[in-house]
Amino acid sequence: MEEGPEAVYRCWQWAERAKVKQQFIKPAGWMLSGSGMGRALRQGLQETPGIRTQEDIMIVDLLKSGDCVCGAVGFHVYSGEPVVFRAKTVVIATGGWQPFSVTSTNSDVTCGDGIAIAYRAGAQLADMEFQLFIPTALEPECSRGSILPYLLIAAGLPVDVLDGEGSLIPTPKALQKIAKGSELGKIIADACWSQRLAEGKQTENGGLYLDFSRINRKPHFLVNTVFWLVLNQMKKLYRYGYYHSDDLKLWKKLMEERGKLEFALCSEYSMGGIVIDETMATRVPGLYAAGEAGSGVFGACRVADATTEMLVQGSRAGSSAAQYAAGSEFLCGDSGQTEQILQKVGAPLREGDGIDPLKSLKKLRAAADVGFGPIRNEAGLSRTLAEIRRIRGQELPQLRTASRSPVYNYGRMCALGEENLLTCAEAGVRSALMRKESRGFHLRSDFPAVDNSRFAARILAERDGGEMKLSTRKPEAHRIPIPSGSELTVCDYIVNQKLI
Amino acid sequence: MKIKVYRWDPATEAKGRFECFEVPAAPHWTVMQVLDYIAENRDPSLAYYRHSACCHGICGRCALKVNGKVGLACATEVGTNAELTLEPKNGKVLRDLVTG
Repeated sequence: MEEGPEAVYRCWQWAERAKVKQQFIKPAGWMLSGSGMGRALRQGLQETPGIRTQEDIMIVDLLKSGDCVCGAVGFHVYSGEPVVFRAKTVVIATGGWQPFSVTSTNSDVTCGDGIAIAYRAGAQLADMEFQLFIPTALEPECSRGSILPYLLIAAGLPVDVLDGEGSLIPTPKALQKIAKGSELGKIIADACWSQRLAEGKQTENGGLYLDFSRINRKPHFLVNTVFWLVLNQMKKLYRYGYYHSDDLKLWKKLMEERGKLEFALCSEYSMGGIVIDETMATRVPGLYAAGEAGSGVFGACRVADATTEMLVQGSRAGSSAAQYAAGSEFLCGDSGQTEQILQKVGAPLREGDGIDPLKSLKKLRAAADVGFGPIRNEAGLSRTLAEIRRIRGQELPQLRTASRSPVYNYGRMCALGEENLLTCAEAGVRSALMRKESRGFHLRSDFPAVDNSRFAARILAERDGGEMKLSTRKPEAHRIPIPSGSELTVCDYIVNQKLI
Repeated sequence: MKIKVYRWDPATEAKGRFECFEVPAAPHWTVMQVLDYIAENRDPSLAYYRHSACCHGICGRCALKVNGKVGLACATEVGTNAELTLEPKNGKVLRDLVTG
């Protein structure tokens, strides 16, 4: 809270100097596109003396000297050449993770590489059961994975949501009022709509429909005028007529012709990650984490902009790591470690028959869709966990790429990423099984109540003798008392606790 | 839809060639979805820019030539073409459609 304004203003200035389109909305709103944020951060890197960047390197594991981190080993994704870094400290800022078939504005880096690498190095993970689901396009095919459906709803357009059978899903008035203009709108939508998914009333693809009937009943000139205003508003951040690569004219045409479009509740953010303290340090000496890779301040439900958290944590992690490095020496990694990691890097390229990494990853994602999605229950989660364990035991050691070339071998990247995704998924699913209640974005149809007496606690995952061990940690009360008792549902909790 | 894809591994082959694949693409599929289909169902050895790809025209790194014109694989729809030719965006080929 205290460092946010300065961190945001610094980034705003970088964006200005990089000539990024951005908008400041009084009193404290800030809008810029994802690519704009990328350019702003790149500007910051260029302006700061003493920083050398190396791109397109996939880090596979960290090097350790005893308990301390002392470097990292990976390979260059284009040349395939191994890369070894010696370092006094390492900061992990690799983003979050999600194991599902449809990625919501996320790339394949959501295998949770940094989170799993830190776990293998001895760090704890927390809150891994919490994924933030938002309305995401399934059609048209060219927009699959876009959050445009969410933006249409959040903008207050008169659209409705229908289940797979075409029945309206209403949102109670009290919740509509809370949702309006609030980040809680995401969790309210999730909680209201996912009940129909639990009843099996989803579309064939596991989705719902966004219904445009109310818009289509309005006079054409009015719709066209509003659409023109939207295009002009959007061009302040994106090229005219588009939201990223989504052709808005095509969307309008389909809205008019079809009357409804299919979407699904897909994960755009993972609340959980590496356990860090207020200096962004993990429990492994020399290892720090920042941003979505860390289990930050949001816990069960992200209630504010993750960008501010990311900027503050990044800045803090950098300062803490620099301070640590100033008082440390370069250490040599434990004997044989580098060779062992490089052997792992080369394993998917070995001769012989094996399992295609792309197909194996697809199976893992399908398993997560089944039991770990926006609404969960014991049977579904158990099936997902069984498949995770089967893939880890039977498929992971057998992954072989079709091409043996080390040059830009995406199969190898998938094979190495799958080990990480399996770790994150196991932590997430086992935590979700352990949490026999609903809380935040963890909704269970078999345990709909928020049970503070048993579960007002974080679930932690750590490596113990090669196996994953789970434990719980009760929070310490500071200014706000820890809630007690229980609520019938997450929606009741939001209303009764007066969360807004 | 018939997809002609440029293939070349400079480490093992003297020159490039085109390989054809039949893909059940709908008009609103993107070129990236076509490439994903080929990699998942026809030939997983195909190299095309995929790691860290945003798939929404944001990162701009998946550029290639589609019917002779440079565009982003994730932001180019296949449309109603009967045939599509996919080539690397320039001559600095590392492998297949990936360039340095």
